[in-house]
Amino acid sequence: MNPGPATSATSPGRAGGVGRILALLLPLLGLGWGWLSIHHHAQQGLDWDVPVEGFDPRDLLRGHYVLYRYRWPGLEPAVDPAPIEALCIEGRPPNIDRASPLESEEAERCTSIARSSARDRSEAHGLESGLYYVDQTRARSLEEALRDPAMRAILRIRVRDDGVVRPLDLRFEPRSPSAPIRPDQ
Amino acid sequence: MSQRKLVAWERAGLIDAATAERIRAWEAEHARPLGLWAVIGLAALTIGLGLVSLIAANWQAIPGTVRLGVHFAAMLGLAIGIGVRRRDGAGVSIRDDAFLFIEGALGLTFLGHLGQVYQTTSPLWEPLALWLALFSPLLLGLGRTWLVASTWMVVFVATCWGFLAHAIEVDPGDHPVLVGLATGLPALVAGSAAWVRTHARTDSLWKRLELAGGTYAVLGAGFSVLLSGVFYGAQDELREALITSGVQSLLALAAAAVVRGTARTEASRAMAIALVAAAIANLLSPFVAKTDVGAALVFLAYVAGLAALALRVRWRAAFQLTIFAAALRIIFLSFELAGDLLGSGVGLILAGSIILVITGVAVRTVKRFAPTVEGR
Repeated sequence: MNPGPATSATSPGRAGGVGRILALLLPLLGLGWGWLSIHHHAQQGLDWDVPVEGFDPRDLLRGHYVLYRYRWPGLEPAVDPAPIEALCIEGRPPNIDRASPLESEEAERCTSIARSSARDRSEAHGLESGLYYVDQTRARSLEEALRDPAMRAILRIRVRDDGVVRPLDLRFEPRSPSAPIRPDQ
Repeated sequence: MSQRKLVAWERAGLIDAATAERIRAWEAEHARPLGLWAVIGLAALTIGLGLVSLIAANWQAIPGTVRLGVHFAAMLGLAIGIGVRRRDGAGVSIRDDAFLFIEGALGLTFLGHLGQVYQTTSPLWEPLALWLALFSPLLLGLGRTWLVASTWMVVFVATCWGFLAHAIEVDPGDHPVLVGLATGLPALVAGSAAWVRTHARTDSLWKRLELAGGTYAVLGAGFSVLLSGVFYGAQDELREALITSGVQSLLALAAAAVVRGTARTEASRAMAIALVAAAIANLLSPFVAKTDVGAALVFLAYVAGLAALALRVRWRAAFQLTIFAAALRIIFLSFELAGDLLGSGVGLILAGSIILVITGVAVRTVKRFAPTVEGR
């Protein structure tokens, strides 16, 4: 690989000074621009509530994040969400009426379209599972609540206009007594 | 300074009374109040730890944008400080490089911090590659010492390996060419740095990057041979292993050619030869996979070649390292060959004796032949 320009600070005088200032500015401008663009994108999109559950009750907490799996309402439990490229979400934010794999011709009936991203890490497959960063003190109580069969975890997500899904907040509510409690697999 | 030592030296006739007195006077004048400094340092450390734990305890209570703002302000302030300090071309000490290192570390953690605040995920190699793009001009332009050179090299290697890990994760299966390219690319740093070295006004950083890239390739080939003998059962995957080694060796040879072509010092010429040796050893490693004696022989030949080179350029540390690597390999070989014997008492006694003999020979070799003066 080309290890970069060599001359910026090695040649004295005015040219060296300009190179030095540019070299100092580049990281600041790059990171600042990256921050602004992430911040700008983060403001867009619709917020939805999705029931989630932990992966493996023994191994939910990995360092500073919680690993969860989506339970999209309306999606048959038999349907594996891993290979789904795009998910059509219908409803009034934040309540999802139905989520279904997106067929190309019916995009207009979707309130939001969530897309899986190949850039995600292995633990976070766009529409199947994800990571939620928390501080360590809160992570412990979240982990316990995720393990509790009487509680249901609801994740507030924001689906950006470009389909990127981002977790916003995790909360718990008691399962209604009438609803059947799914046996743990 | 120990008074006892001075008295002992004076009694032994090594120094006379006047010299001892002069040493005492000089020491008294240059003495540093170490105890006081230790207390001040301890107090500073305590305050620092307190600040860190205060921030950590309230981490979630501080809004993300504020945290990022403070982080960014720290980078900005340090950048201004570096710019002012180097205004008149000053700044070649390790302390100046430490500031560059901190600026780079702040930048890398800023990327992680962004992901944490905005709950975004990405494969590890992406922020590393972005960091390389943004910080390379700064670090490579202004850096002078091993601190900056090795930091840059570590991030570069991590980017290459991280990219490979992610590529395999996305598309599992055999990628012999990709594996060879990603793991072999850091060797080219040696060639690139050697080329820049001939054009740059000061070569202090580039000579260290050349060394870093070369060291990566030389150590990598060593581990390749070592692991092929110990762990891999690669005989049935010989084709894939050969392609990977071939690509790695080609990259190492390319680096060797550039280093040799631009070499102006004995050390650079030795580095070119070491890179060629690494390429050959690496290419041989698939053939000796899962063999006891074959793998050991290739490794020993490789290490012996490196030892001879280190001797030629009078490089003491490298020579010692190669001799002890060879000794260790022979000890392990004896374990491999005498696996059944190890269960019995006689076998254990034999093995222990072999270790003693080999270690003794290695120590004597180093004492006898190791160059006393550091080269370069």
